[in-house]
Amino acid sequence: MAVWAAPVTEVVVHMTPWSVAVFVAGTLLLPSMAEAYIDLGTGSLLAQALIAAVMGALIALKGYWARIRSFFSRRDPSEPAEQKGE
Amino acid sequence: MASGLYDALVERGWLVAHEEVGLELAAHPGAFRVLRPDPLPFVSHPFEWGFGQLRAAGLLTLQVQRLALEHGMTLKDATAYNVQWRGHRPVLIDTLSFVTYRRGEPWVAYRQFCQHFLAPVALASHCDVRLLDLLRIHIDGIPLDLASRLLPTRTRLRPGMYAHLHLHSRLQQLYSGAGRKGSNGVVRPTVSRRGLEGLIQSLESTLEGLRWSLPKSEWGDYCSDMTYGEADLAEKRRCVVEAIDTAKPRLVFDLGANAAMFSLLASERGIDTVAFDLDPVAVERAWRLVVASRQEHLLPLRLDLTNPSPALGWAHTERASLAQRGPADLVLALALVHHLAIRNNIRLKQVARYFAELGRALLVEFVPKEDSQVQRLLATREDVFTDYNREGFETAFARHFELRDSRTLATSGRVLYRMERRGEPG
Repeated sequence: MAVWAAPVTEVVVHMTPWSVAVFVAGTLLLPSMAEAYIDLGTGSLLAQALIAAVMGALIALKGYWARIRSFFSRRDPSEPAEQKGE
Repeated sequence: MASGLYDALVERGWLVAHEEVGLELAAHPGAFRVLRPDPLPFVSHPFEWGFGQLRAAGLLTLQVQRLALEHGMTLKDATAYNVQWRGHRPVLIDTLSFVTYRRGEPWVAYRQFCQHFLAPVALASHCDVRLLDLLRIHIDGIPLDLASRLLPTRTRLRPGMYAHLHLHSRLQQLYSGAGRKGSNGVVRPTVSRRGLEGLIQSLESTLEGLRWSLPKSEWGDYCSDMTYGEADLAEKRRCVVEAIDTAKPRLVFDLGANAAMFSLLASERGIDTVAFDLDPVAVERAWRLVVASRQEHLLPLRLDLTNPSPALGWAHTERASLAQRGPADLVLALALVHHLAIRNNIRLKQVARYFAELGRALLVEFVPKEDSQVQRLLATREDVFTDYNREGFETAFARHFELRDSRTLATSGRVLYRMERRGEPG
């Protein structure tokens, strides 16, 4: 998991290494429920930041992918991308 | 206002319109401004909505948040109580939920959104639709640790469900003591604008992916199973139309509405009609009909009349009970009273008293004991209902209502009574 998180998030989101570590810890550890209902906000913020980072990265990758595709389709003007069965 | 967001929202019908009125109408001294919103026909509570309604309200909230961001604003609340209904269209009613968006800021209402929309819809979709009732207990949405624990393990394999519910809940648990201990300091992660868009997109596709295929319900085949034929049905419809024409209601409650067949007679005349039913399948059916035929005045809601929506929240003042949201101008109670009286042991005079609380005029059907539907209810229990007959029925209702008209259905022998609450003008 940390593999994607380290290189991409720096581009997309102002993620700290700390919150990436939180993600890893969150996925791997099974915490006790002892302190539930004390403060749910912190965990929610971290969850949001992590999910936003991943989704933001995906959107960015989609954008790059579209640019790569349009780059290649421009080379072959007889066959525009929109008509390839989409 | 100045951001253009208000106009964009109102133009799409996503936000209730308001006008600014004079300060003399302020509820409290020292008011800054007074806004008068367009009135809604009926205020419903999310725990009364069917599956499809909660899902649609969640999707609206996300659309609104996306549009808000485009205008440099953001929603600071994502409670389901901020959404109401104009027929098939959900509409946001809290004009004051919008604040200026600052770069890097996370969506402050994310947790609330997950609790109010994603968790209950996921539970209804993957466990049991009756879990929507949890919203009645948890007024600020279903706690995510509870949702995560109840959801089947397979939901962890779906990225959206895993991230927004399971992982979200686990991080909440992990950091639940963070603020108190003070050892970690205050965690303030930032989220980019694109990340925020991704978050909303992910919530949207997760919520959209939650479906409910309707099972056969207790009442699902009721219409085809009825003891009376076409002639009685036509007569019953005529009685409903007459009751509507006489009462000239602005608001109709149809109690035990099933698939809202009779509610439609009112709502299609442009009268705001709430079709209540106990059965979530019937309510979902009615809701799908509302959406498919783009009804403007029909609102199906889940309601157990033997345990109706109470007043909820702080000091019982935040959310009004069913009776507090009434009375309706006309109550329809068709093929209902025998269930209350015989299945649920409610005395006829108590039924009459509560109906008088709910509506000014009433069209109520009496189903005699000989009827096959009543016989079905009596099949497994002793018949202790000695005053369950026409005379007993009329006496019980006469305490609270004045009888205006009665009509006996030829085939079934059922009787329809049109009544008006005692003390009503006219």
